[in-house]
Amino acid sequence: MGKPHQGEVEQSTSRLPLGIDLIVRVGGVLSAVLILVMLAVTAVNVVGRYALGNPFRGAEEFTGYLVVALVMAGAAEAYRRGDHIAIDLIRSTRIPGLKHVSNVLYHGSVLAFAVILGSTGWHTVSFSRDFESYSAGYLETPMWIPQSALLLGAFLLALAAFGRLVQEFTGRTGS
Amino acid sequence: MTTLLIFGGLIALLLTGIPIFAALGLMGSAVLWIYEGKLWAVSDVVFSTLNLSTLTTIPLFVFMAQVMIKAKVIEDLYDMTNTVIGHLRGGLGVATVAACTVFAAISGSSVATALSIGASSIPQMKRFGYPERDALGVIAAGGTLGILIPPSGPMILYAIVSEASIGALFLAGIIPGLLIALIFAAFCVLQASRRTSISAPDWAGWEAAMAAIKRSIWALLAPPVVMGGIYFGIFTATEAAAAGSIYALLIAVFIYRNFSWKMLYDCAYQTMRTSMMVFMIIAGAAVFGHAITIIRLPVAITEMVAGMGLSATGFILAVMVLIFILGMFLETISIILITTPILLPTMIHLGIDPVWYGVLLMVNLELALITPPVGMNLFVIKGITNAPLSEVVKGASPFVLLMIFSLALLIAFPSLATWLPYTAGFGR
Amino acid sequence: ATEMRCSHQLPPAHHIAKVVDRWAAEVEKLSEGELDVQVFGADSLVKANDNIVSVAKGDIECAFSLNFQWGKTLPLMNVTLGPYTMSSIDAWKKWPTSDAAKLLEDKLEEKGVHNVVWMFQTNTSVFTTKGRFLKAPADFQGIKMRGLNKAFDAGLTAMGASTVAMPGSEVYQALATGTIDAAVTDVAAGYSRKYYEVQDHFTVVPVLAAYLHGYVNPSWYAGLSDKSKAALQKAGEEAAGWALEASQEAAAAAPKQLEEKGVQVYIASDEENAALKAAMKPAFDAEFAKETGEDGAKLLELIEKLQ
Ligand code: NA
Ligand code: NA
Repeated sequence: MGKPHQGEVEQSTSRLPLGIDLIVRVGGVLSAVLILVMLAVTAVNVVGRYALGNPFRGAEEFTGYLVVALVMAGAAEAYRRGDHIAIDLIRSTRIPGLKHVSNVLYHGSVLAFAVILGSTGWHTVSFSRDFESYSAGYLETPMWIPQSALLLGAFLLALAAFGRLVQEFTGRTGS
Repeated sequence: MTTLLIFGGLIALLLTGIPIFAALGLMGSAVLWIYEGKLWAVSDVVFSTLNLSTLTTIPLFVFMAQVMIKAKVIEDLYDMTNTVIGHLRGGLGVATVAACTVFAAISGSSVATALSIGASSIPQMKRFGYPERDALGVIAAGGTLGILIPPSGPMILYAIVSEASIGALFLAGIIPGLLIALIFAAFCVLQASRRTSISAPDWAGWEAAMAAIKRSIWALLAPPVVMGGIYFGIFTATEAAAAGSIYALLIAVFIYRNFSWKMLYDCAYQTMRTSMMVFMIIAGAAVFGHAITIIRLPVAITEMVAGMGLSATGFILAVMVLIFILGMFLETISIILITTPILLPTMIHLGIDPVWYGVLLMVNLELALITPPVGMNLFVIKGITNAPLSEVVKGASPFVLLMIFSLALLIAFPSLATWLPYTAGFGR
Repeated sequence: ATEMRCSHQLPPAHHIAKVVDRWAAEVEKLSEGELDVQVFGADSLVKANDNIVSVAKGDIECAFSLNFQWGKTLPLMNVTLGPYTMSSIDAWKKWPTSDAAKLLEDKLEEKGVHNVVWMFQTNTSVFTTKGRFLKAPADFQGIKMRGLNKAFDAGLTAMGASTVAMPGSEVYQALATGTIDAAVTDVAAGYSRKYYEVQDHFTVVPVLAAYLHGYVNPSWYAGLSDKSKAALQKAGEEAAGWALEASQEAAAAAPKQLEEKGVQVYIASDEENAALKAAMKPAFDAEFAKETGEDGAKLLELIEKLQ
């Protein structure tokens, strides 16, 4: 990854302004750590079931929540690094005006999606709390708890997109 | 009209160059807003799509590949491959197709196959002078074998919806899977023979070959170890990714002895970045899929095809075109769930064998993974290499034709799929 | 017409999925087209675990859930999973208009969904395994099984089995390779999910009963005309009868179908059932009582009257 590539869009992997950078990076670290936790939980479950006849019955359910949590924690960091895939016909243009427009569109679309995810996520979480919805699995998890990851993800993504838009309009790289 | 507006709108949005997950998510949201007047489903769909333990195979297989790459296990493997068959033109391409085939027998997911083989193979193929576009294409296409060669998540899903035998379907996928792998390999040889950049060293001799094989023995043992674990019931196909990761960590720490805590974190961080782009597109595609499903768009199109009053052959051809078109926009799971129940009654009425159709469907869904605008394997390969998407699409395009050709073969000769299961005693 | 999108999890050829389709047509007919019922089966619109909240929120108008999908959200719904609690067909015939059903309907309304139909799905289960039958409590010692839910698994654990959680899509493969040794499932599902390809000994036991029930969004329901409401009422009553017939047929046919596939089928005797009941019931009852308290005790009393 990371290596520049012929014809590739120049991804700004510069630091985000206004202290946003640190918050987004922390999300990335959390996400990476959750991958290791996922590996550990699955491995322990296999060994427990096969060798000890003592399965961790919640493992399946728990790893599902881990997927949600690690995506929500890491999506903004991946965005900061320019990892999210786009069809780069227009963005690879060298025409300055068009480049500015396409950058605004790029970061604006992420902000828009994050706002939709966040506001509907808020509705999902508060509805699950009021409804007292629990998972049907062994952990009997109150669903609003794992669903809260949606709010974290939307918040980080919106923050990062906002930072990039600020940079786009002020021309600052924030480093 | 609605259909054209929605699909056309999505293409236009994608072409503006915004992230694919945002394009899918926003287009899905727009449809929900216009037709349902509310967006509440967006976060529900994102959550329920990602809240799935079987998705752990994606990051964990990527992690396994990362560990093997960082510990230089993969390098030994490719050095070995080059020593042993490098003197044959296209040998490395053939080896990569073989690697995809073996990996497909471990993993039930095409995305995981493309991710793991791609991350480790593409840099190596470039090291030995392969043109990048060729390397991108062969992995994008080879990776799709994951769902045709058992075990296969989508096949199980199709079996449950259609009530076809899972065992029969798994057997039915083997010969077509190997056949397609063979066609891909033959194409690699053909392609390589026209590339002057690929270095073809002289045959290094048996001694050097044996030494190279010995050096890479731990990497070579990974597939049998993981496959053995699945077939002896120690772990499930989903857990195989974790088992593979643990195996990779063990050889990195105890055999190669070049692994540190810092490298462990780096592997996890790199895995995180790769997984994010895949998962966010999966989430966006699910929002789009839900939106068009609730307004019954694919249902209406499928019902139209089912109601055309065609002959068996005409029906299969029409359905294959339908799946191909849906496959350009929707992901595999949605296509199976939406179309199968609608097509099934007509299929039974026309006397079409559901096991045979299941294999045709899988091959067509493999195609969906490498056709633009929404092709998960194209995205995955772009993501791990940072190559322009257009390069990946161009690299994969000959394989699209090869797969259409394979599909035609399977339609013309159904026994390619059905011979094995029926010989093994699965009744019709 | 008023759109009524109904989600459920059953594959299209399942005997109850067919009853759902028939019910949908009946609702349309009885409402004289006021209601346009669109059925999305096989998890194609909303996933099984999300049906309840999706209807309560109003994302969709209607869904069907198997009772154990309610889990801790409304643990009373699990009552039929009690070992040998609702084994008799006569009890099921009386169920739709019973006080027990009324109690659950009220609880569902309180929770935020309006129940419209009860569809009895099974009272006949099979314990499947390889090499031997599971017919006495001692047979369960040390085996790994895919469980159902917490309360029912308490009974299996009491007999010495260890229960494992895994996605439904993985069970077939896990049984084939021996990741798990045994499974418990509805007898018809044991056939339709092809367990006979990977298991060879099937013990038929009326150990638990399960039902699918249909429910709608309450505020959507409140906005319907009296004619539509009456149509839902009438179609619901009819469909309860169809489901009972279809399930009895499926359950009666399944053991023979399984035998035709070359597996051993054993129908547990009354004594064996009594022994299993004695081994499993106390653990389930304790777990159920813990989850449901006074309501649970009252519901069990009402169910006792149906037997
Ligand atoms: Na596979
Ligand atoms: Na596609």
